[in-house]
Amino acid sequence: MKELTKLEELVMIAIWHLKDEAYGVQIKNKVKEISGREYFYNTLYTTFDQLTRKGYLTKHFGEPSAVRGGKRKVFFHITKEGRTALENAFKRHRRIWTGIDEESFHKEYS
Amino acid sequence: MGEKKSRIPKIPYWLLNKIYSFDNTDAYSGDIEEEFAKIQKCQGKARAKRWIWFHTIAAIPRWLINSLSWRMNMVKNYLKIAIRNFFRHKGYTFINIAGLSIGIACCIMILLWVQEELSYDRFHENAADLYVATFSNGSIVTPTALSPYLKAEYPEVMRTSRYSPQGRDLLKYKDTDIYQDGGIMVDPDFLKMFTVPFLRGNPETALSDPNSILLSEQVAQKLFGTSDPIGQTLIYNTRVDLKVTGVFEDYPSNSHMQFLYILPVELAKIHNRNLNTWDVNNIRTYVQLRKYTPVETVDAKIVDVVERHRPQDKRAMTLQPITRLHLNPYNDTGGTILYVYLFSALAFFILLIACINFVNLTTARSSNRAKEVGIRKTVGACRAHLTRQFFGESLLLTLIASALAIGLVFLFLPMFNNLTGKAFTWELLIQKSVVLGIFGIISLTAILAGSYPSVFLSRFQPIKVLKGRRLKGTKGSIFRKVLVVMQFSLSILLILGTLMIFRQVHYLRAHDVGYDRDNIVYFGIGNRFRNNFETIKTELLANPNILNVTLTDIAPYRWMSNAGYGDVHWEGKTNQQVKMVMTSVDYDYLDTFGLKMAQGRFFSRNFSTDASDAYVVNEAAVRAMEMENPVGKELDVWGMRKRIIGVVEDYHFESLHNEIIPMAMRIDPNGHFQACVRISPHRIPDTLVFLESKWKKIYPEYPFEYNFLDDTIANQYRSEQAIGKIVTVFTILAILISCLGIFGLSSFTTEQRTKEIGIRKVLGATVISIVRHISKEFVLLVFIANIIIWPLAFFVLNRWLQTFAYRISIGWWMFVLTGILVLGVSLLTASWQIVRAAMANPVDSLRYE
Repeated sequence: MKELTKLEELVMIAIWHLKDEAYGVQIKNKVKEISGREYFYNTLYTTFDQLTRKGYLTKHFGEPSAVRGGKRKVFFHITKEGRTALENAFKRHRRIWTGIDEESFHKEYS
Repeated sequence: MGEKKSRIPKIPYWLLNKIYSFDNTDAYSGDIEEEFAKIQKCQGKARAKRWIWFHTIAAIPRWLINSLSWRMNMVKNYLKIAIRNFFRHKGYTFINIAGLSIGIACCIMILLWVQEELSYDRFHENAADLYVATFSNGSIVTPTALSPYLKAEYPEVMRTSRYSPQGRDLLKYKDTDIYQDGGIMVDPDFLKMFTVPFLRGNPETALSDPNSILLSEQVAQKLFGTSDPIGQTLIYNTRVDLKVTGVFEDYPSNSHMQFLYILPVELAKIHNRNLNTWDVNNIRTYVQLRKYTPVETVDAKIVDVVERHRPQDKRAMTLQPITRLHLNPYNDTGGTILYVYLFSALAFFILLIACINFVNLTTARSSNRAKEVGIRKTVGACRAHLTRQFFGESLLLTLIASALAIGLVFLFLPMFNNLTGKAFTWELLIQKSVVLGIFGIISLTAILAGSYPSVFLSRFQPIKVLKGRRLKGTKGSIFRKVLVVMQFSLSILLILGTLMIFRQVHYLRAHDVGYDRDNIVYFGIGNRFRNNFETIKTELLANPNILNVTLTDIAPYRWMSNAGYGDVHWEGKTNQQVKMVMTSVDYDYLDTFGLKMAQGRFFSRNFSTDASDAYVVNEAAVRAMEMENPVGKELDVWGMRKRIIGVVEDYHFESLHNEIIPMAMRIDPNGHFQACVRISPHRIPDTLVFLESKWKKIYPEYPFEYNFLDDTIANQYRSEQAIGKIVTVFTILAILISCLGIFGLSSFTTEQRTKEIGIRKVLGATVISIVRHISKEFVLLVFIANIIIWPLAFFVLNRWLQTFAYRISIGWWMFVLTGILVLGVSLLTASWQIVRAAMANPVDSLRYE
């Protein structure tokens, strides 16, 4: 199984947080909230497409609304495989960072 | 809230939708609209707009990188396949590239030529406001009084200048004396009107003194070497002292005016020339209008300006832009616009033929690519992708051909210069307009050659193709036949054109001009020669190789056809308008030139009245005046009343472009400027040395310069001859390219039909019957091409021949001959491959069945 890229990770985590409310605008805001950086829609959607193709996400359509110019929302959900991939990513990060806490950065150079 | 809400800006919205076009387009644009609406609500319209714009522009680079990197992968694949294909079918690739590169090279060279022709006289700073006064019949030779009159009477006219080309003058400085051609006499304003690049001297005052002269660098170099010519004194024609007041850069060749030194027009007074008369046309009038003056308003005012002063001359006067002068075929200068069209058409035809080759070969051989198309479509390529691929392939081939073509141009530029008599350098190729032109040629080629095959190839349906069935396209579609017919037609047209040009030029040179033009030497003479003519003649005739000596004012063929419309009256004149040329001759003129009398007698020393009271006219004059018995009648030409003593048979004293016009000969001993000597064809060099020794006795200070009349005549048709050569070269190239195409096509058809040929042979067919069977198609196409192009060719060539007063008639045999020629060449090319296939052992072609 291939590792998730950083952006894929961010998107997955955002969807994880949002649960049933995960659609474009919300995901974008959440990603901005957790990463501190604003991504463009085309970048995000390219990532959605990739994740969907890999089988980590599924989608269902919402109702069209006037504020969206009569276009439907697409809600994303994490699949079982997605869950495993995210878990692996989490474990990997923990493994990599084991034995390092924030204080150790200050200790080294003070 | 409803009324405050504005629609999302169209452009960024559209762009954003372009940028992302994958699975969830709808949701994507919906999201953008939702966020846009939210920002608009919270932070205002301007903020929202700014947001969407920022979003769009910031997203573009990333999108570009993404999409390009995908595309690059495909392009790499396309390139690989294309190159493999090129190498697998080396023969066809060679035919295509060779054809296209020759075609493009021809186009580039002709572009250079056309560009040069169109650039004439555009380098003058005031080019847009400069005009030359032109009569309605195209003559630009006007009365001398016209120039001062126009300037004085019409406020729109800013400056005017008279312009009179000189013959050759003798310029002498200390010990150096040279005969120099290319002098002009102009008014001082000339230097302000036209851009004459001064190296030394002040253009403002350079010509204000009537005894001044301006030299070109080249002439100054000849006379003064490295020393400073300014302020030095020259002796002009051994009698006038002229002060050099300026030196100018050698004048560009792309101008209708060509001069090497400039004299003030006032100087002409020493030749007793009247510079303010309406009676004779003998000078050009150039006019500079004030900026932004519409020329039509001035034209309307001056239309009858000459008629007002000379009522018998009804020709209208107009101002002709100088930039058009070089191209206008109805001028005295002889225009080239016809050749500009001709060559452009030629270049286009050659390119077209090369492109047709490409289209035919590519579509004929489409079965080779059919499987590839099928597979590509099956794995998801859409038609647009394939079109793009195949168009790209054509583009690649065109680019390779273009690179080669530019190489060819470099290689053959000296040859082309030789052919055209111009001096093109490779630096011209990097001029802006030429680069644009070359770019245009290449794009045109790519479009002509690439568009049809790419559409054709991308059309295949995967199911049919992959089933392995024979494709319809390989057997020869109607479209391809049409193209081949077109190719043949163009070749036939070009061959016919070449044939016609050559026959016409030959006709002009061989045409009986009505007198014996071989072995006649002529040279200019002056007073000393004229006054002692009888003694000199006796001395000359003592040499057995000198047969005749005579004097005249202008040697035949040096006429400028501007005889003007002087008053001509005769007994019994009703109201005919007759344009009559007058020339002055000597008693021996008839014998020297071998002219024949139609009626009466020629001038004779036995009749003392002949010197003062006799005209000999030509037959054309008799016809024009509608005289019954001309001999003995009185004739009044330009106020000189004399009796007609004889009629000479018509002879061509001008180029054969012009018809023979009425002419009157008289004897005017003071009006002789040329001596014509008929010498025997034996020991010509010795005779010339003898002539020179005699000349030196009379004119020790002048070098002896002479011309042969037949050389002069041949020069008259040099432009036609050069055109003939150029057309021949390009025609041969065109035919070569067509043949390449036919060769490719026929070898392909033969390749396709090897098995058929094998079976036929097994069943007992002979080689000849097979060749006949397969080449039947080509023969038919050549026939159709002939029938289509003949009427068109007749029309076009007839138009060209109309420009000659004396011309060949178009014979049907030329068409038949050309048809047979094309048929022969194409059959020969086609059967090369067919014969090879037919000779082959059928076992080889059938063994895998």
